[in-house]
Amino acid sequence: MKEKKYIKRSIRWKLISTMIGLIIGLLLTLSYIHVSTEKKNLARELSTLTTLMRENLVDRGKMLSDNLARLTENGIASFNLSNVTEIITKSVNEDRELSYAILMDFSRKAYIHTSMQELQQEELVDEAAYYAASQITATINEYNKDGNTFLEFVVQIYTGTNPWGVLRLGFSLDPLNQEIANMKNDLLDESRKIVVWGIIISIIFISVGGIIVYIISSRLSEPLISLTESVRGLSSENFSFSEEIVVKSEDEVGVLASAFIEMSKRLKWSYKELEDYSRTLEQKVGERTLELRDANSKLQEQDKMRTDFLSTVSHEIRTPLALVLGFVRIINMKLEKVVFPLVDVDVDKTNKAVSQIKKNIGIIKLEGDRLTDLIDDILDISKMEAKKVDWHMENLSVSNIIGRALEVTNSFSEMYKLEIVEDIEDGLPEVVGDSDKLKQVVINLISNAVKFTEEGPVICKARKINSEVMISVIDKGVGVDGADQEKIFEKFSQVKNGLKDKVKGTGLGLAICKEIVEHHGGRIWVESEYGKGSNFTFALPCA
Amino acid sequence: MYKKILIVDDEVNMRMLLKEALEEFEEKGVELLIVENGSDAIESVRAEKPDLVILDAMMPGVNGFDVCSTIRNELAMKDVYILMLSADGQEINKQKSKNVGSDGFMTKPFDPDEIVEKVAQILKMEI
Repeated sequence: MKEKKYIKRSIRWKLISTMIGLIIGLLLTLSYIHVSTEKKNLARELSTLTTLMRENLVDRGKMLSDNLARLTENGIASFNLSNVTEIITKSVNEDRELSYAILMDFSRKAYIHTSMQELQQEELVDEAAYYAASQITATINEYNKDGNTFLEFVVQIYTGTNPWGVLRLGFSLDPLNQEIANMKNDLLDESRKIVVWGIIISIIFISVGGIIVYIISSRLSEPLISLTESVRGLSSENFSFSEEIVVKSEDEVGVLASAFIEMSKRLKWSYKELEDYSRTLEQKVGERTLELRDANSKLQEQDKMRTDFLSTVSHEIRTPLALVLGFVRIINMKLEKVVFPLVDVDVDKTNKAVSQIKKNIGIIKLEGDRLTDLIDDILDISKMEAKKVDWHMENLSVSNIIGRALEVTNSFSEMYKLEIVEDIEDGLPEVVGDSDKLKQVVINLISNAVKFTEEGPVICKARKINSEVMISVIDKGVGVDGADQEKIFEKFSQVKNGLKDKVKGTGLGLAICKEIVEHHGGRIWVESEYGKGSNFTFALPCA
Repeated sequence: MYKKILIVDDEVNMRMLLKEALEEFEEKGVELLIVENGSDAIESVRAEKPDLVILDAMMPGVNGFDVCSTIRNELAMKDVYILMLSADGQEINKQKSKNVGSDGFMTKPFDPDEIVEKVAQILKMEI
């Protein structure tokens, strides 16, 4: 299909069609000029010839009519009309163009009538007879009768000085008209011949011109076609075509072919270079891939080691910790139930020792719990950073999350004697999230607020602002210094606080909150003034 | 008919802690059976048919999950209450314990009082 299009639009086709068009146009124009000129010339010639022939006929008619009139006058004068009849009849017979001769007096009585002898001695009543009888001088009358055209020469006949009648000589114009018609036909034939010859010559010129143009265009287009094939070859990375091209001419096409061959050589060289480069690159990529694969597998190994390590550490720490805390509680229980009731608390030293033991056990429990929390937090943040957390995302009600968090923090807040106030807007939209993880964020924020606040209440507020639900935990506690407000969300960040007695955190709680909130596509920040309280807020996109 | 509690843990001190924590039950006539590995645990369950098994999840050899699965499937003992203990409190472990048929899961470290409370609840006893 493509090949056909290519042929249709080839230079050869264009050249041949243009040349043939031009030849036809030229020949048609020339033929038209020639034929029309020739036609005019022949028409002029015909007109001249017709005039000459008519003039010749008129001269001849005049002369003959004069001669015969004289002979008739002499015959009438000598009463020898039969001799006149014989001469006139002879003249009519001898002259092919002379059709008839009529001798009549002015009363239109015919004495001689060569064509209709039965009308002799009869009165002629035809129009021509009337016309002739009315003439007083020699006249020429042209008229039609029975489809024939006649030129009638009317000459007056005198007897002495008296007009007697007229001699009418009728020349038939049909032979003359026939001759003119023949000449016209010849003229038309001549024109037709010119046209036919014009066509024949056109065909010859078109054929010869076509062949010449074909040869020239072939010489022009063949190298171009070869070049085109070579270019196609190049596009399919075949460089051998250009080597088959032989440059014979030095014209523009020759220059183009030379330039093309040069370009092909360069392309071949570049392609080879590129192939070499590509091969080297592939090799390098292969090597790098192997290296990367090694590195990746090492990383995976390290990652697995890290996870295993964390898991093992967790297990290995938790187990002794469980034992320490467990036995501390059992010791405490046994002391409380069995030993202390037997101790004499009245002795100051003993009483002091019992009190110290109780306090010390309390500290061991508290610090043990803190250590447990720390291990939990380290594990949590490690898993989040290593993307090893299984998130259970679902549509959640914000008030439900806060409610569940408050269930956990209530005992804690009661311990610190702080009131927690819920301030949740009605009809809050749902958010998409992991219920337990978001609950953990609220718990962490409320625990912090409780830990760092002397006087309540702590407010837990939820509002919809634009396309987000904002959950804030607001306290009137120690607050966070401006410079620390960013740092506070970093792991193990140490910021100053005015509290001495309250329990310290693990230093990971807010970092975990940040990880969780950001995983939900949200953001967390603090607005605070040191010494006046804090407002920790996290915003989650609405479901 | 005395009730029986089977304690399974590879850590000697953990076994001691649990034994001491549950001492009060022992005083009230509950029999405490103690083993240190998974194979012995299966044998003990088969032989003694305890009411409650306190089972450590992470043990060398036959681990707690295998023991739990064997009790539920091979021994077809649906009534025995299995309380699993693990130092690894990841959600995946909780889910795994549920899948093999345990009734409860507790993370180490735990408060012995919590265990006592839980056991009292399971055995329907007052301490």
